[in-house]
Amino acid sequence: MDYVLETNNLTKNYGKFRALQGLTMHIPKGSIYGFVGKNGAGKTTLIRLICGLQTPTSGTYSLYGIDSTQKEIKKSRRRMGAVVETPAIYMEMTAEENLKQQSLILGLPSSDGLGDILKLVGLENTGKKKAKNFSLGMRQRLGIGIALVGDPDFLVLDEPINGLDPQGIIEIRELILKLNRERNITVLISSHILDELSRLATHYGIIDGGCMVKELSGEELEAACRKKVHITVTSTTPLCAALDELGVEYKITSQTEADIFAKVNVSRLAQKLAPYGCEILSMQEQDESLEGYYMSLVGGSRNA
Amino acid sequence: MRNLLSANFAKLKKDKFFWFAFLLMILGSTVQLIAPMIEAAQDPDFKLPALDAVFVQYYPLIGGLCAIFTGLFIGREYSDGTMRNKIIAGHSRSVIYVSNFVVGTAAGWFLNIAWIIPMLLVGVPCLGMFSSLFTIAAYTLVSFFMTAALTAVFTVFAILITNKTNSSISIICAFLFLLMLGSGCYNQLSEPEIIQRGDFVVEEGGNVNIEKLGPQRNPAYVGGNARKLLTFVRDFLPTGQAIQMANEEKIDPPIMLAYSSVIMLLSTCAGITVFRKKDLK
Repeated sequence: MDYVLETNNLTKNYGKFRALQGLTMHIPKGSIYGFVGKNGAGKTTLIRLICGLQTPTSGTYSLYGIDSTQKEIKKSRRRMGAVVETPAIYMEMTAEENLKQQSLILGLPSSDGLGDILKLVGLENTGKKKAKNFSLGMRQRLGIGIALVGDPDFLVLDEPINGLDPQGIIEIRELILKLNRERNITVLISSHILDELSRLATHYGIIDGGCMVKELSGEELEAACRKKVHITVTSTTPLCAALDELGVEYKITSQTEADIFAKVNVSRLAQKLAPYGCEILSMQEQDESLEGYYMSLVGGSRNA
Repeated sequence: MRNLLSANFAKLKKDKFFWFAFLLMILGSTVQLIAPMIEAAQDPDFKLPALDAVFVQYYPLIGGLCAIFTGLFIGREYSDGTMRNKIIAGHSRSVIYVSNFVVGTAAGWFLNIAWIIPMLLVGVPCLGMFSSLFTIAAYTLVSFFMTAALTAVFTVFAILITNKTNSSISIICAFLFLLMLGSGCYNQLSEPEIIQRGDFVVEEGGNVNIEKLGPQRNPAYVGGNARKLLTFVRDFLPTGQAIQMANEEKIDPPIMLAYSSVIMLLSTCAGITVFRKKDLK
């Protein structure tokens, strides 16, 4: 698999505080990578490192296969756009002037195409209105617009929906999906609003306490979050035979526990197990969301 | 570098404080020229000053304007977060630093020019030509280097202190400190070595006479190595150079240019070294 960004054992200390502890992550090309973690987990620290705003205490990362220790890393950053924390925009300038300024910073030969970007982010009608008079959602969209100048193929968005109203959240979501689908831009989006992230992401990285707890694809998450019945019995050997007879999908998790991925008739199952002397000790229906999955992971790691 | 310079100059063109300071310099220069002419029109005994004396008045002021401008211009890069755009766009920190210094210096030079223009357009026709064109040319050259040296010092503060308010306050404090230091050295060195002393003698009947004691050594006069040190500090500091020129003192332009170049080089190298290692948010 082609990865746009890979980090290897990345560590960042601020004095005695360790913000990242040996973080390893992989962002596949073309994906929308949801970077999940609570406040202070290390999401923004990682983004600051890959944007070149800070240097890692130890470990490395690579952008498009170019290692962070190589000089060419600065060139490879030109292929990415980023909105880190708050949108980086000149408040005294209009939307168009902000894009022109970014085009000058990048040294683009002409400012053709800036109108298309304004249209893409829905700011084509802002005219001479200065950015300081924009709403939060408009500033966020302008920040993304600036990140898009230079036609990047990797977009890093740090908490892009923080503080936005429902309409603003929908607009940003649709914009991200459009960029990913129509322009094939790989997106790294950090958030702690899990419900929103689950509507966008194709891959997930769950971070806690500066460590990567789990990396998984959307399909893997879906499988992990499938509706299932967790059953505890005295022995799983007769349970397997009974479930095979009933023709349902299941997964044995221990000698006495299993997950059944279907609705089962409890009476029928109990009847099937009775001849083997196997008893049902408990049954729990589970229907996990990303939130539930996240809590199970992060809670587990904290208790470990 | 070229990209960042064109981006920074485009930003300068829209900078409100820069244009305010530019107009202030033009207005200040014009007022300084017109005020004595109005007085001369009202009082026939009033003697018009020489153009040179009016021309040199702005040197201490230019540093203050550069201090405020640099603090706001670079501070806004942090407060708006746009410094990040430059780093993410792949520019090295050294290039970002130098481009800010160059544009800050250019802005300072434009402010110098804003003072000079009315002097040439209004001053020369009204007050006559400069008495020594060579001295004024030397002063102007030293002033341009002095502006660059001060901007280099202010850039260190503006780039390394990421809070706009804190950096602006620090820069203004640094300028006032340098101004007071330069002024203090200048005043101390201006003390004459020998002074005429006298005692007031009150005679009977209330008449006061001054009894001359003759020439005496001035206790405030600094001599020896201390004088050499004060002279060096006065000439080395851009603010000391400004005060000397504002008082139409005889200066040594090559030495002053060299001192300003040393300040520029040292502060820029130190600023870049720290900025390259600095964690940005």
